[in-house]
Amino acid sequence: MTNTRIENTRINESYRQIKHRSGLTVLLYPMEGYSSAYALFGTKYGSVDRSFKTGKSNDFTIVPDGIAHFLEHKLFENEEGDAFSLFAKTGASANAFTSFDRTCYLFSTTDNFEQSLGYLLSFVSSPYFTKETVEKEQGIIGQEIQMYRDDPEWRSFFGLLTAMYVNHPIAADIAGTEESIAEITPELLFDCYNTFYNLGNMILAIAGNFDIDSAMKTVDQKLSESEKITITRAEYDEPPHVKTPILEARLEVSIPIFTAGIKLAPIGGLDGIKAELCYEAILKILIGPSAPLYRALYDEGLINSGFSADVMRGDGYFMLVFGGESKNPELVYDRIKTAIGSIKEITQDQLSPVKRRMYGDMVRSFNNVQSVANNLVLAHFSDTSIYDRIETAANINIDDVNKFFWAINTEYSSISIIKPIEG
Amino acid sequence: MESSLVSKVISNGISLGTVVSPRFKVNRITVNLILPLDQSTASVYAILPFLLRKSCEDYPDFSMLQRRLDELYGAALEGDVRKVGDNQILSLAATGIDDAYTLEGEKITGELASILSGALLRPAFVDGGFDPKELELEKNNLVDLIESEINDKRSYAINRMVEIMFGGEPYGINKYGNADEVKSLTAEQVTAAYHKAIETAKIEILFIGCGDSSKVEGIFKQAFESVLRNPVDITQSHVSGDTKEICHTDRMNVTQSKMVLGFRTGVEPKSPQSYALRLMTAIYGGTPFSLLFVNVREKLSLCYYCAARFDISKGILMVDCGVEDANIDRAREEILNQLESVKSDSFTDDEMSQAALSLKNSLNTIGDSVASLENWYLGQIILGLQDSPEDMVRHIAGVSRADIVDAANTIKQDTVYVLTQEGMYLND
Repeated sequence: MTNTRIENTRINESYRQIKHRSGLTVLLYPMEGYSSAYALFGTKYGSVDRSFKTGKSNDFTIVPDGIAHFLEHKLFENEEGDAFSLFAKTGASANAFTSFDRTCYLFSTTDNFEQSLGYLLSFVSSPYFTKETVEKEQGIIGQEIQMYRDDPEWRSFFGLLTAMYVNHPIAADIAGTEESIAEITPELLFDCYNTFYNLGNMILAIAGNFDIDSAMKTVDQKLSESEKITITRAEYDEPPHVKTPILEARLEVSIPIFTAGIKLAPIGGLDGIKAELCYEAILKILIGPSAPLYRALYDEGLINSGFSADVMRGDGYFMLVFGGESKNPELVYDRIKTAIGSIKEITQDQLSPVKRRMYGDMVRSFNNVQSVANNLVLAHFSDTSIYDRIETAANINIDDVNKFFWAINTEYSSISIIKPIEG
Repeated sequence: MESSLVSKVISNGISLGTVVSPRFKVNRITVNLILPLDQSTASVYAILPFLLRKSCEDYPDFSMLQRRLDELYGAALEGDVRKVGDNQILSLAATGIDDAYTLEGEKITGELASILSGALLRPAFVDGGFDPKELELEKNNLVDLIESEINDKRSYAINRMVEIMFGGEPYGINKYGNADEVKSLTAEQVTAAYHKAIETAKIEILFIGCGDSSKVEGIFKQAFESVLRNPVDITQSHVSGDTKEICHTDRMNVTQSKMVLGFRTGVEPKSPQSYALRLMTAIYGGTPFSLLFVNVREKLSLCYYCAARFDISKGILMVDCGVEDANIDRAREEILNQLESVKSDSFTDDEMSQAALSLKNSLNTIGDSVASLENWYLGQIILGLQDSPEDMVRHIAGVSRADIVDAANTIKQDTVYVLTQEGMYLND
């Protein structure tokens, strides 16, 4: 077992990183003055893990879309009932979520911390699936899939991913489809569970009001050593170009909703953080609220204050995403692409205020128990520390920014639009 | 951690409330203009925060102001409208990191307060009024905002239910006003409404964060010195237990139908029975182990979600669910069955103690977020209450089983609203 203290002098805080003998990485971030503790028990396993193998087999296992999310739902219940009924005894507010590359189980509590943590570690470690419970869940998730079908922002966002990615499974809906989840069996669920819920692939992150020793005592009691395995994920031969430049759908909306994106080459680790922050700066400079183009589009009534832009990245994908509501999404999209193409370089004068904004945003993220716990997990799964972002942000320079700016190719872009139903 | 509000009057009808704790790294200052919700003024007032957030005399240009906010470490200046009971609240908020965390030791909190007070009291007027060009833009944006409520079907259905249940009453008015009225606003009307709001509103300034609020107090005191003020008292929300059974169906192209049920209790915000109603709502449908969740969703699989909420300002209970067309009637029947079981005292001690524990947890968590604290205290102030979240925990701890049953028996069904494509609500 190793126990390391990691600190940051800029915000004068520290946390503990413990490699527990069970194989689990534990990150403990006590925050003085807060009433609640927020704990996340997560695995690096999400909707993109469609094809994988462990050291034990030669062949890749290919699983139906939506199975990681399905597994999350199933783990949330055991023979007696669902996990909510456990946390009902402690008062903790519990939940779980599945994203592209992680599945997390969590609780937030002001009382009975140890007991809540014990429940969290236990229920995630006790899979229980039968043919009957799997069939019942297929119905429940079918409803969830239907509900998202009415959500224009969700549809617009996934439309963009479908338009942009040719082979990468990020384009698949996290919940899958009614057809894909119909293929899920208890055996497949156990295969995925035994692979990805190995403690070596998992993390426990806790932030806020709790005691380090009693947290570790609970971990010692609840978790025993897990077998060492290596997980190999299939790689996807993803071309730089997009699948289709435009996708449209119609829903009950008042004005069109759009999400547009520019595809970039994927970068991981610390270099990935640098690239991500440089692109965040570029987006703020080009189309953030202080940018002339934002102003022009706003004044022409083409965007409103709901317009936003962000960087999205993970294993095998990296993209700039922007969108909102607009009476003329195609025009907004064109104007932004044209602007990117016509600017020769970013200047220091443009970068300085934006760098301060980014630094302020990061300080702000340490102001909240929930965001600290989430950021611990995010950083860990990309092989970095929670402080790497704030340090990298303080050190990005104009040469880095321009290097990444020049790497943008607006040919590799798509737009997804949800238009109102006609008539 | 106890998070009590310290409040003082700084000028005529203007109070400054502060919650300061070293746990935070930011400061959030909001100025709230509390005005009676009225059909004739709702739209013209609603546009004000969206115009005011964009500029001020010192930064007459929106881009210039945004650039200054970037330099102030990404401080945010935001405008929005809220509704608490029969009041419409125009809010302007500034949030920034505390001076202790700036890279070169700059003092930014005072400047942020100055920008906020400037945006409120010294707008960038053109010829003595709002710039007609800016007004046209923000009118269009506000119309879009009102019309886009349809995009989120769950909250749209709740808003429609409230509109129908409180038809002809202030609480039934949309906090953003009405699209047609917004379209017809002129610069003269909006400028006159601005002056009237500044003169007559009860103003609550809230400072939540880790910094020093004394400078902020000085800035606002001075800024209001030369302002003409004739503040009116906060409107006491009308609470009635009289029901009219209304069923209303809207048809729309949706995959999943939504149903919202509205109930009245007639219980006033200041009545201790409101504590029992909070706990009763948690038992009934406020948690993922509540009667509605366990029975309607889990056991009978009638709904994807099914939850209850209590609006203390009007003494009303709402139940909302996402449901397949075929199950609309059965879901409603079961929602009412579960209500009967609370009324007839057939819930377990565990169900009661677990709901109380969950409520305690969420109340005690409020103090961990500046935005939640601000929202909590603004609500308290408007309802004429002074409880901290921790005080509310103590009140809830004093609620007995008999109190819950009594509280449940104040609940009377009023409105049923359904949003569906094909489904038919049989009693329609």
